[in-house]
Amino acid sequence: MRVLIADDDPVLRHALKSQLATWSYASVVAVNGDQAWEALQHPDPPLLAVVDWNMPGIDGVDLCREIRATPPLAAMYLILLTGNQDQKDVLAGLESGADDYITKPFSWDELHARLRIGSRIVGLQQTLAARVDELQQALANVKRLSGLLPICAYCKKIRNNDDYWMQVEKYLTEHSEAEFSHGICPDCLRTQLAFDES
Amino acid sequence: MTWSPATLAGRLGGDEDLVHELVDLFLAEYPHLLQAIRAHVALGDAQGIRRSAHKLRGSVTNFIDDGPTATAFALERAGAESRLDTAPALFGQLERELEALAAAMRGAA
Repeated sequence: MRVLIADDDPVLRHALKSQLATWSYASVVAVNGDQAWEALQHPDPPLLAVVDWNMPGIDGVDLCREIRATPPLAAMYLILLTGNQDQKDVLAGLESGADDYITKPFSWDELHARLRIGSRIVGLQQTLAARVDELQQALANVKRLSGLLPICAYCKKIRNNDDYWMQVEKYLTEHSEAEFSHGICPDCLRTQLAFDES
Repeated sequence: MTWSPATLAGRLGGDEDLVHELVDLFLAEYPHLLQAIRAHVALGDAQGIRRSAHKLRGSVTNFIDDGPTATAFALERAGAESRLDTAPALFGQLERELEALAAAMRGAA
């Protein structure tokens, strides 16, 4: 999984990049908020980010707000990194849209654990999005069957989009998950017997 | 004030090469950060002192929890609270502590 690192401190930036590589994450590195925002405009942006609060240009809090307000990026998992330790700063950071908040100096083991949580949540979101996509496709098929179907009043054939009149069971088989097993109903049985006897 | 490359290496999974790289980056960077604070102290720019001291604290805290980290924080607070009378003395202390840290880092290399 790729992680965006945005920090103006070259020491911490290098340490983060190195540690993330050790933990098998690929990094996209930005030296300030503006560069981070630019990196997120490319196709297939990282889904996890470690963002410093105090940076030149767009700061970490504004970056979190921009990301949350941008639909293609809104599902990113954001870890805000800061030297601000006051409780009001923690609240302001989380209210800006950050998912997690780590104060400097921090434990590398703790950051690793929090990144694992982020990876798991991003993975769950991706699974959920794929499932929603499948359901939307299934719903589209159901909607096709719930539309207006031209049907012959006498033989009950249905006219398809190519102007071809199809047997109703063939049409339904092609446009739904339904399958048919053939039998005979009591009314038809009586009619058929009377026909055979005559 | 305690600086120990072994402690930092332990926190970084035993990666001594990474410790050396980080130390080299810090030794190249901190004079610029210190210069920025010096300029703001000379100008009496409280918000500038807060911002530049915060930035230096963020960098030095990668290596040490007390000494220059604590002094940079005190300078940051002085800036935030516009207590400019305390800034020159705190800056002098910060400068001395950073010089001592840099010497310890160079000695450990």
